Amino acid sequence: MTIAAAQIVALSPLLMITGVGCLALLLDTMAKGRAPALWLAQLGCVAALLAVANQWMGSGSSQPIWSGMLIVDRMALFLDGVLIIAALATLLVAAPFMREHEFEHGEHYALVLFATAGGMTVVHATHLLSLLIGIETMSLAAYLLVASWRRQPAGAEGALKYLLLGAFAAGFLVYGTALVYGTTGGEMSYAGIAARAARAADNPLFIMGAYFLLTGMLFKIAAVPFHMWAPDAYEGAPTPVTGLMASGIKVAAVGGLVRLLGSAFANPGLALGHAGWVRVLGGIAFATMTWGNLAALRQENVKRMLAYSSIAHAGYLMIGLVALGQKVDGAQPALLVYLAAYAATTLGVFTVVAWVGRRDDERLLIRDWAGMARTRPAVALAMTVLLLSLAGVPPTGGFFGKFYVFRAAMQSPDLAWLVVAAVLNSLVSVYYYLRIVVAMYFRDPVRPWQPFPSVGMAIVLFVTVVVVLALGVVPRPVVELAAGGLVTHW
Amino acid sequence: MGSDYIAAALAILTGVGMAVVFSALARFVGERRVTRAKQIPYEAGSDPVGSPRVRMPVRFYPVAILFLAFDIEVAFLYPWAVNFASLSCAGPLVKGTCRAGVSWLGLGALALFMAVLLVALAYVWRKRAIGWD
Amino acid sequence: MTDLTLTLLVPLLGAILVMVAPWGERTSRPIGIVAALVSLGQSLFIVRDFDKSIGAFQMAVDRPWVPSLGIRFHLGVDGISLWLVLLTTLMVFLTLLSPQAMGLHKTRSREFTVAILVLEAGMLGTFLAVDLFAFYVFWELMLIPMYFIIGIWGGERRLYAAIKFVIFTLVGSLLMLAAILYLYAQVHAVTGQWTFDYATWATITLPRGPELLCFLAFTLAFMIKVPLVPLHTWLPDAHVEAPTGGSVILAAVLLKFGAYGFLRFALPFFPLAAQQTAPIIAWLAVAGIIFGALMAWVQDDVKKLVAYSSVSHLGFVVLGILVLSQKGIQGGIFQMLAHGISTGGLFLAVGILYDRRHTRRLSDFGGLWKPMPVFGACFLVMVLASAGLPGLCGFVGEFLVLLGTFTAGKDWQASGLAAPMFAHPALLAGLAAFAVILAAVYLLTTYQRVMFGPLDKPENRDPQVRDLGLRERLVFAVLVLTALVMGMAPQPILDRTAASVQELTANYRFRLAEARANPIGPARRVVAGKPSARPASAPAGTARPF
Repeated sequence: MTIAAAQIVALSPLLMITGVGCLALLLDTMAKGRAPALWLAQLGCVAALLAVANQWMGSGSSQPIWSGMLIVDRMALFLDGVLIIAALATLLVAAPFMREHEFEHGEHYALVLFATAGGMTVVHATHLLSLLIGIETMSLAAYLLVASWRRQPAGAEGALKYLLLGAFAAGFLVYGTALVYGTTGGEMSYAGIAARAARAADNPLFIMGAYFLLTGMLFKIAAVPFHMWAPDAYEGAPTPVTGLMASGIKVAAVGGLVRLLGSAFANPGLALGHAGWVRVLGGIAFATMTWGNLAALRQENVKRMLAYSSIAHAGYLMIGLVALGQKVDGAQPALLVYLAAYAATTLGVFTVVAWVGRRDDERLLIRDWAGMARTRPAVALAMTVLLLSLAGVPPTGGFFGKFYVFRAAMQSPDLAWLVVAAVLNSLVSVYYYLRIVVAMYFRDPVRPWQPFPSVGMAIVLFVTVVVVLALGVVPRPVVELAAGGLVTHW
Repeated sequence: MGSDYIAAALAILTGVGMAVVFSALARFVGERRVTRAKQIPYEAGSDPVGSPRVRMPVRFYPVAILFLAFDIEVAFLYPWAVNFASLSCAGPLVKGTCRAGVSWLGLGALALFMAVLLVALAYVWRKRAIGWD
Repeated sequence: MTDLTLTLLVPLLGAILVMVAPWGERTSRPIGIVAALVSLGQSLFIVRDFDKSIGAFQMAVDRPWVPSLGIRFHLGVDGISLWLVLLTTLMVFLTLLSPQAMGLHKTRSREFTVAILVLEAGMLGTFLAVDLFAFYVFWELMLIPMYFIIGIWGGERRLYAAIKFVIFTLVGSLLMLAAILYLYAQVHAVTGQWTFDYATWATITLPRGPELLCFLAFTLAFMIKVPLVPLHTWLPDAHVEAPTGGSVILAAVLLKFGAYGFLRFALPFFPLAAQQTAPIIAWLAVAGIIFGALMAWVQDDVKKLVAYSSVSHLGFVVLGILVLSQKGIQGGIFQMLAHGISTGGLFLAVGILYDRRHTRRLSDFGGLWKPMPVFGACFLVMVLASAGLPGLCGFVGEFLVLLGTFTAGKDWQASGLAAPMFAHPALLAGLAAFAVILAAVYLLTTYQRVMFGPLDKPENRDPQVRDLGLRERLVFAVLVLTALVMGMAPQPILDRTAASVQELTANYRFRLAEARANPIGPARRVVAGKPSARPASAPAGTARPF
């Protein structure tokens, strides 16, 4: 058992994010003010992005790290990129937000990086233990981030709910791991599980273990009926953190699921058939998107509405996972493109939400947004583009991602109903996304309003809108990047 | 039935026996003086009966959490120590001895581990979470 | 050669220019007008370069877009879309030129101009797209600007009308998206390659059940747009609440997409399902023709009246297309153009009336000829064109459609159509012809009540009610001239549509015969002359119906 320098280089993005997180934590205690920690964290993100690019250019082949605990391949690198960009955007938005709301902590920046490092571990994991470690690192940081806005009473409530249900989910994960370990004769690596799955598929305990693992992961992506925590946590969290939860954490969890389902539990005996996870996930996908959309219709609070919208998007994403189980052409790149588009859109949307609220005037209700197009036409236009992307209206990345995922699902005749259901669901979603547009454009301002100027937020908003439009108009590069990350075996 | 079990049985016997012997000795040999403090279950002084909602200084919690955090980490040193031989060998162990060169993996892993702990220690130190006031 | 990409880019660039122009409100409209004028010029060049002997797509732009998914940026123009493109650019130009475009609102003209220009790009793209993905993208691109136009510059109940418009349109188009995805997968299963190419799709015959479902999905999307009774309820609301410019574009161009899409996609893709459901659609079309006319007759709101007359007139288009003969389809296409000019003109006229009087109730007008003689003359031409007076544009289309329907039975036999599209064509033609008389009645009554009669209300008098200004005169001059030219010399227009219509009907006949001959076949590719089964390389089982 050795560690070659090549492995450390291959894992450099993850190591960089972790290391910079530690350094930022220390720096914050030594330096005066919060700025040095913030700058260090941002630089770390940029450096890690360069490292990801370097790895991508380097070798296309996937390489196992630490005797198969982790893997570095194109899919992981792609999602690494998405996660790091999400972290960078969160940092850029969080700093002015916390300053405005007077609760700036230096730990905040380190925690964002720790959550990201956890997420990266999840998408690199090819072993149930590294999956668990990644999930827990990510979640612990997220609990703290949610609770960090102490003046907001909803923050404590949301964080506590998130923590308790998250702990519950962790229990499922551990129990599932134990059952799988026991029934496969001591296998915890995905490849090992896959090799023994054919024989273990008759064992009810193994099936139970697989479903426990699935349940734990579904908690993390907030799929119905494991979504209860999401609206409260989303509402209570500082808005930039909500953005991170909806983008980065969801991306990581879905990435982890793609790996878990695409390799460890890909066995047809386990995936297909009556009690196969393809059928179960299909049902959950339907329930998730329908419930998320219907519940979002009734929300008056923008953040809660976006929380339910994020639940609905988990439903759409699960269609891709189901298609993955059917082994159709292009399910995995479709999911990656969807995730990238969704992450960019969500980050932009929450940036606007963060930007709108002032210390003494939160403006979290939809009616508070009235007349924004008069005072801030550019932001209103950007928000409209982002909302249309969430709704899946072309020419935006949201539409292309949906199209790509639905294309994958449509290849299997058994999934056509799911696509039709999803398409009708996006009709429902258009209604509530347009409520914000109605407020911004069609109504007169309710009370005077002075948004605070922030360069960081402006940059994030501009970049996300450009990315969302580019993904809709010229999706080719991202499609090719995502296709470069095909995972076949390792 | 291997000889392993005899050893285990002996250990259990010794443990139980010593407990019994010491209690018996205390009962028969020792001098008894009943005081109030001796009658309560916790000699630390907290009263087990009464309202469960006792107001505790919040400083107890950081100390307890820090203790747990750093104490639990030590548990990880045991498996590391047990496997140190194989971890520091560049090849597989042959009958417990290393035929290949030296690997720094074992030491490196622990150094990394300790470094993370040190970061945490430095952080709580600088944040004045260790002192009582 | 004319570059179609440029045709799309000009309005978009114009929109961006308007958005970023530092001078804001004041210069936005002029920039918009210039952009619209440039694209009008471009579409005139397209008409000039168009070769009328070719039935297939011309001036094609075909670039890879997302190659791995078979998405191509493929544009082209044929006889069916040629004139609609010209109609689009013309009406957008006139709308921007017209001072009443935003209704009574005087502010936010920058956003208005941007919305109209983006809408124009969407409309042109939808007409020009030969790739189904591109078609869908442009199709949806039209939705949002119109939503804003109704919602921001609309009347009292604009929110209700705007959201109703969006929901109705989206129900159809999202179901169509599902059908497009299904077809896309089926095309892959049959041909072994991912493609959105129109020509390839038009050779794929689906199994019966899925064919019917997909046809219904497509047709629902298109028939909501037309709109066909009973899917029309969004239209009066949208028209009444929309500002004048919105109404003009909606009536003149947006409604055409229903008929265009039906002709372009629903018929060639699903020949058998179209033939099977044609009787229902034909009867609905005739019901719409008569219902629209009757509803128009009883309206007191002039705008609602014109909206219902739209429902009536577009019924002719659907009927003509369903006849599937040269006469019928060409008549339908001509009727689309004529309706665009005449109803667009009527909505502009109503907009001017509303601008002068701030009311749309018929009973509030009267004797307006005296203060507004020039307007009266232009309004008259539009009314007569809409009523189908010979010599004006409305006549040619309606006449061709009625003639085509009347002689449909004979035409179907002569052309060798495998089965009649619907029974009793003569009866349907007769009923539709009845509505032409109704149209004359309600339109002329309206004109009379607005323009003639005693000038007994002081607010209808001179200083308040001005006659047409310069820009208004210019707009109407173009419209009147177009209506006259189209009515007097329809042949150049019909000539250029003939070849494409012929190709479409021939292909339809061939594929209908094939589909009827193999009623329970799997999904397959049917190329004229050699029907073939799925190649062995395609994975078995993927072509199963759902």
